[in-house]
Formats: sequence, structure tokens, C-alpha cells
Amino acid sequence: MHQYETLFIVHPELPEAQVRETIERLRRLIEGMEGQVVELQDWGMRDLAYPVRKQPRGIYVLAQYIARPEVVKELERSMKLSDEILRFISVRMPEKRTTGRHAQRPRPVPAPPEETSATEQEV
Amino acid sequence: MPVGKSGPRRGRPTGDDKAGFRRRGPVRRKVCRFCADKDSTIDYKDTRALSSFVTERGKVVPSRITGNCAKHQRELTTAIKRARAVALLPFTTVHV
Repeated sequence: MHQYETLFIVHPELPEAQVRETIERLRRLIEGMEGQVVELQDWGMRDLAYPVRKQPRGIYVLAQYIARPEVVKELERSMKLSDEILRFISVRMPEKRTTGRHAQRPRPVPAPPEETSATEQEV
Repeated sequence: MPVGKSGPRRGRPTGDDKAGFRRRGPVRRKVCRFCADKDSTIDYKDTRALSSFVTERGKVVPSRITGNCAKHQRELTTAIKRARAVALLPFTTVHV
């Protein structure tokens, strides 16, 4: 289980109720696969840096969750199929360091490779 | 004198004895902003912070200008690329 975050853009012309429904659907998808939603932020309507599917704006939603990698895969597959989602990005969140960098200065064994972001998929 | 590890690893050659080049005025040593501030993080969602490392045209500002170290410059470019993918930052401002 790792912590991931997915930022996605919901179609701006979607009625409020359907936006809610879309977000809830994705939440259920994560939770249905034993994922745990840590945070679900609605950034609201924002201007896009460039038009996506002819739309100048979009509703940004950020979801942070702890789940298995398959959940991310399934979530992305689902978003790719749905017309309400203009775009999305999933990133594995960097793990918190348990020890300070300077604390492990004198190390006899080489440190394990540092974890960086793993999944990054662009549409 | 043995050759030791010294000098900056990136950026323009700083050798003052380079033939044909004369510097105007003193060279200000640039310090990587992210190394100076340990708490600062590079996040693709923080458009405002990223925009200071992007030109008006939307290009990534080279580390030789900003003085960022290689590690943070790498993190920065991935962040900018991620931000572009979700339309938080532009790929370009001149559109066809």
C-alpha cells in the first residue's frame, strides 16, 4: 500500500449534481478496492492554461489516498473512459523520511535507493 | 598540487583565465533556492511557485540563470511537466 494522489479535471458544463456524482463514483471505486481516501479537495472552477476539449475552464479535484497500485490503474482506466473527466494525473506521493538525512551520515552500508515518484501518467 | 574536488559542478565555466572572455563586474555566486530553504518543496500543484521558473513563453528557465543545483532543477522540470499535463501551466503561449 502506498500513498497516491490523483488530480483530475471535471467537465465545466456538467451540472453541479453530476459533478458530485462523478466525484463520489471515483471515491467509491477507491474504497471498493480497499483503498483509503485521505483527502478529497475540490478546487472549484479554474481557468486552464490551454483549452482542453475546447473548454477554457475546468473543475479541479484532488484526491489523496492510500491504496494498492492496481487501484490507481483501475481509477485511471475508469477516468479515461468517462466523458466527464477532461484530464487527470496520478502521482505516487514521496514517502516521509523516518530518519533525518544528517542522522544517517556515518553509514557503513550504502543507503537503499531513494524513493521518488513512481507513477506518472499523462493523457 | 593534486587535483581536488572543487568548483561548481554545473553552469558556465567559471575559469577567469579563459582566453577571449572578460567579465564585466564581479560575479555574484548564485545559490540554489531549494538548498537554501530546506523546508521548501517542489510541487507540481503549486503553480505560483513554479511560474517563477518559467519564462513568459512558458519555457523552463535554465539553472544557469536561476542558480538551482542539478538535483533541484531536475525535480523542478518534472514538476513543470506534470503541471503542463493537467493544464496548470502552459506548454506555450503562442498558439496556432
